[in-house]
Amino acid sequence: MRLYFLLFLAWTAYAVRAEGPATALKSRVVSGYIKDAQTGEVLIGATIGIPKSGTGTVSNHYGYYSLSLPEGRHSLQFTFLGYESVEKDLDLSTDKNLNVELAPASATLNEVKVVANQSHSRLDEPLTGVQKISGATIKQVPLLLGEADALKALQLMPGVRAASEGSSGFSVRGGNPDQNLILLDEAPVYNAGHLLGFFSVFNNDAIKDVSLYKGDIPAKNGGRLASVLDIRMKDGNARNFTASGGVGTISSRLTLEGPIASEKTTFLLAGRRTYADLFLKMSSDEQIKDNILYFYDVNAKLSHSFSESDRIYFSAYLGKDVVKNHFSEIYFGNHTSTFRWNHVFSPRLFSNLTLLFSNYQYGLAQSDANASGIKWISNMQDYGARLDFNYYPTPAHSISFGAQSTLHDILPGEVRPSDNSVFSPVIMQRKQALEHGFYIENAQKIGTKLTWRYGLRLSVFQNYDLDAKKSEHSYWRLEPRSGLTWMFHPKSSFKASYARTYQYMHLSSNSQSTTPLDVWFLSSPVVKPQRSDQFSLGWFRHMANNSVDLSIETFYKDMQNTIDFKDYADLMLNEDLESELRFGRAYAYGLEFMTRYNSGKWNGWLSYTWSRSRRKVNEINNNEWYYSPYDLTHDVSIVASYRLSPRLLLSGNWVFTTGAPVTFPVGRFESGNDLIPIYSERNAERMPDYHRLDVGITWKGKENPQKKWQGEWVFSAYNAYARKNAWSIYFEQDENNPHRTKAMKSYLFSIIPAITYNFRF
Amino acid sequence: MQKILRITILFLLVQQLFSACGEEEIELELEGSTTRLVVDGLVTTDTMAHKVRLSLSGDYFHNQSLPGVSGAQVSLSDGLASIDLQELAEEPGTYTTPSNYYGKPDHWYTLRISGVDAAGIDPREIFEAQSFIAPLVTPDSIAMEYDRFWELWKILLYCQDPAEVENYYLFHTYLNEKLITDRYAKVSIIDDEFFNGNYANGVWIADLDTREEDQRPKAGDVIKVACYMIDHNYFKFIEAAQIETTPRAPLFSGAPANVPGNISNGALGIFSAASVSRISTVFEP
Repeated sequence: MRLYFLLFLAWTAYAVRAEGPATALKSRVVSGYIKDAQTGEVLIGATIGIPKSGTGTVSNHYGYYSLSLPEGRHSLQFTFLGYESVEKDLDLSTDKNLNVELAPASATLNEVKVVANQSHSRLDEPLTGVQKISGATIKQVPLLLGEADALKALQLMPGVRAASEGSSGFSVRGGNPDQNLILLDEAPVYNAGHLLGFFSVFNNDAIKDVSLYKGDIPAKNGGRLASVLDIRMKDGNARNFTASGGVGTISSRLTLEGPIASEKTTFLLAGRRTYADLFLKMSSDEQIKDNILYFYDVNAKLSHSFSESDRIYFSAYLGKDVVKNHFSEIYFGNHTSTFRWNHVFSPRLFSNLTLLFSNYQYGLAQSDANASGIKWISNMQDYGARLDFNYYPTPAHSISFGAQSTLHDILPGEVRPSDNSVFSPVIMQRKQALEHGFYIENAQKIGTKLTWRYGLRLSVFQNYDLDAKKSEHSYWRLEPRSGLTWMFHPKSSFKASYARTYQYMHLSSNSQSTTPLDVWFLSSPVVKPQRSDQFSLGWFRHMANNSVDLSIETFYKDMQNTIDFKDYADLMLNEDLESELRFGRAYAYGLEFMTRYNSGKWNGWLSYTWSRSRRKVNEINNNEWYYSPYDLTHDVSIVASYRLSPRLLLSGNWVFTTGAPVTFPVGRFESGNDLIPIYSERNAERMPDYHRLDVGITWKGKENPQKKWQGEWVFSAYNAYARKNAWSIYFEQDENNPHRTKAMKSYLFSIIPAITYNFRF
Repeated sequence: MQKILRITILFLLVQQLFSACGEEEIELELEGSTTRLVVDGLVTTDTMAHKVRLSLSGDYFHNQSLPGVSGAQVSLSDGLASIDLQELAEEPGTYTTPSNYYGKPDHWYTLRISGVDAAGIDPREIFEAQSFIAPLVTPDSIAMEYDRFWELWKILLYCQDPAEVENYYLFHTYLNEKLITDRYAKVSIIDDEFFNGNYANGVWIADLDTREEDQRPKAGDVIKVACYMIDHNYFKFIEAAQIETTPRAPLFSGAPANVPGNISNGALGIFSAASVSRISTVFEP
């Protein structure tokens, strides 16, 4: 296996060298950073193109770009969605450093006007199934209680759906919620939900860029089957000190950012706290009054540029939920920190070193006054390092390579009784493992119309005994990744891709939606890594002067070593968890259609997904195939906003999904005084179809050049036509007639109005 | 203990949720099912006429009492001797042992049913089930303690748990000889995972829920607990029956599943043998 990896390295080197003789003219490099002209924030994924030849590149995650060109005169165009394009003429006789600043389109224009040449997607990028969404777009989507939420907005994209109503947990292309790798500034976030998942842990004010890779994952990342969600925090305004925030229906936010001493050093500090418990205090009910229920989160980031070629970042996230009454308490939360150092070795070689830490923990306690008082804790830590390189050797090649290593350390559970408790303590064994990745990937232009991306990732997973300092068991796996783009028309491309991924960590949850108390467990000699092979095809088109993007994609995903849980699995504090697991295989396929439009006044998208997701797991459903709980046949989202005037924005979204698969009883028998249900096949029935409309109005205060203060009111209504969407269906015996059974539906939300006031100064 | 923890978690998290949530009855069309034999039998160390009920399963929205199965041959063996059970004339489908019959601890009991005459069931089919009577565990005492928050009277158990073996306890509660735990969901079952071999020094095993009218004890009332030592199959059956007969919150439950029984040849239900001891206390608030 290591041999294959080395052979692949040799091939990549050969492919790059083979280009040599073809380029007769000497090649020069233009490189630099692309920034927001107002804030100095670097822009991720901005396009640097030469309109005449159709070649180009994009800025990386740190805003850096490097483009090799033949000596001579060139006209470069720099574009980024929502920004005014910039054109530069260059006479390239030596390597050139060129930093470019783009101005946000709305900031310079009183009138809203079409900004040309901007698209949400790149036709020539050899990747399929990528969804990108900006903080500004997320803000325009009216959502539950008016909270702007990246994870909820993503659920309106094709192939992505909520794990359950109102949940920030999501399923990508029929996968389980635990098959998504969620990264915040490269640190994994193990539980991305607040308040039972009704809100995500990502404070939109602190977020710069959100990219979701739906299974066709670039070789630099791995470890999950279904997707990688890459969330990048803002670096902080380098030009001016600004404060922004909002007062909402259930929470308030405040973000401070600015330069420290000079533009070289910036900071960002964002905080958010809910105050639902303040309302509980007003209740006349003693029990409710007693309750404490809140969450908070803090995002902080510090960056410093030593020079054009060295920049460091330190970012941190801390969040916590607390639910408490006089009798017991539950708390849970994440903490992540990332230190990064960008170094430009040469205009052609960019590197980034990352050190990261992530922690998720929860605890619950029952009052120790009585004999059943206990304290229960569980936590998990990741300590990781990664080194990534971007190498741009010739105009035709863009190579990324690197290595990463993470130590996972999990305490599944520890229960300590209080002094006078009758219980004995339960202390579960800590589980540790090392996960490594080595990768190289090249995006190679072949002629003017083809781009071929080929990469290989070697992943190594070792169960590790930290006390004995020895590795107990290892898996070595190769993960080939490849994509091909054929630009058969200047405005149209066809793409194909293949990706193999392995997953070594799994979530111990057999419920339809994840809970804060779920514990992750590791692959082992018994629990083989889950494997996925995904094939996808897509057709992409830009229309109407690039204001409309159209895409149709299909995928087929074959999965091995799929994990499900036996009937009535006991997942809590179970030292022998592996005996509750059952293994099998799964597949998913589907068709995703999306059109995004951005015509100045009108903005939004329409997405439609048709898909299937089934599994066959040993001892479950009599070893027959059954639907995954995340199988959705039809899923439609329409998201639209209309700018009525520069001060008034109307927005709305409508979603429809086929009901999720569910198991209903077909028969019953009598035992004791009870009627016991008899079930037929697992997930053979469907919940009722789900649909919902959310609407919002954003009303901006008058802009006054003399005043720094800018305010806006956001009025929104979730579930505007108050449909009682079924959250669960259960069956019960009629109290008055014990022979009668009835089906009951519970629903979570009726119409939920909300008001938020946002400000900035 | 796990049950208690689960209740706490559920309470804390779901309480917040359900305040924003509603429920209503809905119309559903469900698939039909094939008819199967259902067995419901219990033999204990008490000297009495022990009952085995045979009935048939039906469609989920059948909405009538399911018929008993008459005229079957039902026998019970303790490994040494076998007896035939007699069907009660006044209660078709219910078969009993003689009234002087009692189960003996440390014995395997086998129930054998043949000659079932019902549509959809092969009359030549023989249905069997086995259950082991675990040795008797006699509680030393029980005590009552009020929990203001939950508004219930907890019943605390004082008892030595036998070491070396896994024990499964089932508790029935009586208030002035009236059975409170008349449904699976009200029965209390615990395993000794958290106090195996230890002295159970006031373990919360059951309770009287004072929000229920028939569960409000007055001074001088007699609270009695029947402590059954049951086998693993019966424990699993009740555990599953409790899940399947109480409303489920999707947040916390796995997929529903068929309640596992111990009868052969596809029959449903459970046959169980258990040792039983009783302890009571006079209520003093």
